[in-house]
Parts: sequence; C-alpha cells; structure tokens
Amino acid sequence: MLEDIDRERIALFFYFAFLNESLTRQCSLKALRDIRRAKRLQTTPSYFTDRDLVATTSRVFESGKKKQAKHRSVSLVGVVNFPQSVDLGVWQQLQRSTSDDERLALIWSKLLSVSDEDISDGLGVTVGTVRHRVARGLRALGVTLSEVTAVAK
Amino acid sequence: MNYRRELEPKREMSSFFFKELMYDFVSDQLDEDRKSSMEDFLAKNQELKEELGHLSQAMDYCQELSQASVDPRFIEQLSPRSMSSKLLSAAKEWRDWPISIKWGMEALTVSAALLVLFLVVPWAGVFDQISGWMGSSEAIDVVQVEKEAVKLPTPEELRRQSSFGPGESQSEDESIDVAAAAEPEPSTVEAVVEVEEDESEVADEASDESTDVVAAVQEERPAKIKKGPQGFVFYGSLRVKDHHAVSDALVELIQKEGGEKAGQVELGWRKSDGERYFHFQIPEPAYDRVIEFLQAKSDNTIRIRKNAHRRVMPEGTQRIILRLNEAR
Repeated sequence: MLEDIDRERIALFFYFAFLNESLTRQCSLKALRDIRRAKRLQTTPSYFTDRDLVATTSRVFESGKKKQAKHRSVSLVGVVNFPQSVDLGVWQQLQRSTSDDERLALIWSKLLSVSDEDISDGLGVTVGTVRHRVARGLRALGVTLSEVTAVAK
Repeated sequence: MNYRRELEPKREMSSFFFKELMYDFVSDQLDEDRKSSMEDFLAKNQELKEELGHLSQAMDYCQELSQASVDPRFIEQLSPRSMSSKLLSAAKEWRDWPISIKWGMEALTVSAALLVLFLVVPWAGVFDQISGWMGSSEAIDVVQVEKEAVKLPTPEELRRQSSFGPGESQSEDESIDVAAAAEPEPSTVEAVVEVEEDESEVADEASDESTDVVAAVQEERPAKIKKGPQGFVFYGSLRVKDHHAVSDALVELIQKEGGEKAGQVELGWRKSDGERYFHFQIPEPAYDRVIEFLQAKSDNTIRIRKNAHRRVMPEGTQRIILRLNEAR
C-alpha cells in the first residue's frame, strides 16, 4: 500500500520544509505511523493518494514546527542527494522570506508534483487559494534568486 | 453575449492585476483574450518583464530541486521492518526527550546514587574517623556489668567464725570458708545492706500508708521469684490502742521466743510519735504466736505480706518488718 516512492516524497517534503535532518527523520516516522494507523482503521484497503500525502504532511508539519526551536542545528548531509547545479542556499534564504503556507504549497505543487486539486482537497481550501499561494511563493523565490544572482555577480 | 463584448471597450490591465495573473500566464492557465491583453501590457512594461523572468527562473529552480532524491539508506530506515528499531533509537536520543522526563530521570538518578551512598558507606567508621580528626582522643568504653546476688553470711555463721580465736586450728576447708566470709568485712556490708533494705522497705510501706490495716493473716501477693538464691521477708502493719504498751509487750514476747533485731534499729524503735517499728528475725514456730498476740491486741485484722528479698535467711528463721500505729 505504501511504496518506497511515497516514503521518499514524505521525507522530501519534511526535508524541504525544515531543512533539518533530525526533524525530517522524526516527522517522517510520525507521518508514516499516522498513515499506518489510519489505514488499519479503514475497513476496505485503499491506496495512498496525493490527497493523503498533503493532509498527513501538513498535520505532522504543524506538530513538528513546535519542535523546530529545539533543533536549531541544521544538518544537510547524507539524507538527500541534489543535482550539482542546485544551490540550496536559495531555498534556505526563502525560508526566511515566505510564509509557511506559501512555502508548503510550493513544495507540494512544484517539488512533489501534487496537483492543485489534490492540494486543495488535502488542505480543505479552494484551488484558487492554492494557486494564489503557489504564485506568491514562486514570486518570492524569483526575487530571492535574483538577489542571490546579483550578489554573486 | 459576443455582441455585448464587441461593444464594450477593452479594459486596461493594471500592474497589480498583471502580477496576480502572472503565474497563471506562465503556466498557461488563461483564456486567449486575457493572455493577449497580458502580452500587450508586458510589451509596454520592462519592469514586469523582468519580474516575469524571475518567475520563470523560480520555476526552473523548482524543476531542478524536484530532481533531488532521498538516500536509499534513509528510505530503508523509514520502512516498516526497521520502524520499531528506529523508534527505539529515536527514544534513545536524549536531547529529543521532553524536558520534564529529562529532569525526572536526572532526579531519579541522583536519588538512586544518594541511596546507594547511604547504604554502602560505613557511616559509623566515618564518624569515628571524623571525631579522630577533630582531636577528641577520649574514648568512653561502656561495659555492661551484671549484678549477682551475694549470699551474705548469716549471723550464726558470723558468730561461728568469730568464735575461732587466733592460733586455733581448723580443717583446711573450714579455714577457706571463714577466710572467704571474713574477707568482705561483714559489719560494713551488713550496714550497707541494711540501709538499702530500710529504704526499700520504707518506700514499700509508704505505698500502703493510705490503706487501713485489717483482716486475717494472709499472703496477698505472690512472691517474685528471681534467679539465684532467693529469700523472703514478711511485711505487716497494724493499728492498736495504746501502741506503746503493746509494743513493749511485743518486744518482750519476741525476746522470749528467741527472736532478735534484724536491722540497725532496736526492737520497737520509735519511728515517729504515733508509730513503732519492728525489724526482727524469729524462729519459725514462734511466728504464729507473735501473730496471735498481735491479733489479740487489735480489733482489726492484721495484714501480712510476704515479699521476695535478696537477703536469704537461715533455714527455720523468719524475718519480719512490722509497724504498729496508734489507732484513732
């Protein structure tokens, strides 16, 4: 029911949301535990959908946010492999310039390729709201990218 | 509808509105009319063109980020078979524990350490050591000494001992006995014993002071039996009319029956104006006659108490302590 690709997407979500290895591990484990418990309560077997992914990760993110203050040390080694050209510093910069809603919408929509409809179902908001958050997140990311590029030049 | 749209003038695009629709424009979510109006507006506005370029860069960046992959070992750690072991290892991470549990564990550890310290350390030795350091070199040894009942020589034995003059020979055994009996200075020991007896006897008697003396001769309290040689003494008190005359007569009777004083004071000692005190020993057959005499002199019943006493009387001899008070 829960494939390795689902586990990977869950781990990626928490990695980009917190940029912290310890929190990524803890929140991933909690999310997977919640999913298993929810599946156990279901009478008919069902597949893990993108809507489930959004609903679970957003719920666990809220609980993980409370622990974020205790995990100030950022460890980015060994958990996620990136293409050579990617500068993760831009994403770290984005964490400080956007709201959680915008950033999470960006992760679901652009990094995990979840459709706007599934995001809106999982969050219980309209598709317009989702697109608005994604658009704002992208604009903020674009500004951050331009700033970083300007500094580099 | 199309007729109306043709009649309406084309609405101007604002900068704010352009920015709001920029994402939809890039992701090709706009209808043709809106798309063409945005293209027209974009052609006139260089700043917005740059902003649109930033947006495209952001989307490209996201496209690159989405190529990221999680390390397979990490995925393995998240798999169900290693989940329980991971939970255990996560629980082992001390820094992730709630602060209340951390403090509780620390308090528990400190308490356990103190308990072990309290139980293991020989505190008596430590205190001795400390007192040694403090300079108190005096040591107090407390020894428990058990008193043994000493059988004192009877007056008869003492008389027999004193009857041997200097140079008079005796058998070897007898000489050893006499030496042993003479060694503790009989007169001194006797005096001490008598004083002790008097004090205890008077104390005993004082407790009976409030009760009227009456009734037939009876032994009220069972004698307390102690270890070792055990003697007895009879205590009695009586109220009579003209107690001085009765006392004098009693002295005569005791002497006539072969009795003699057993304490320090003479027979019929005037303890106070209203009381005469008798402490005497008498041969056992004469005991009943003395009691009969007293009974005859009093309207009340004489009460005699037999108490255990460390002083052992010779066989066939009774020791009696008697108080005669004036009847009111």
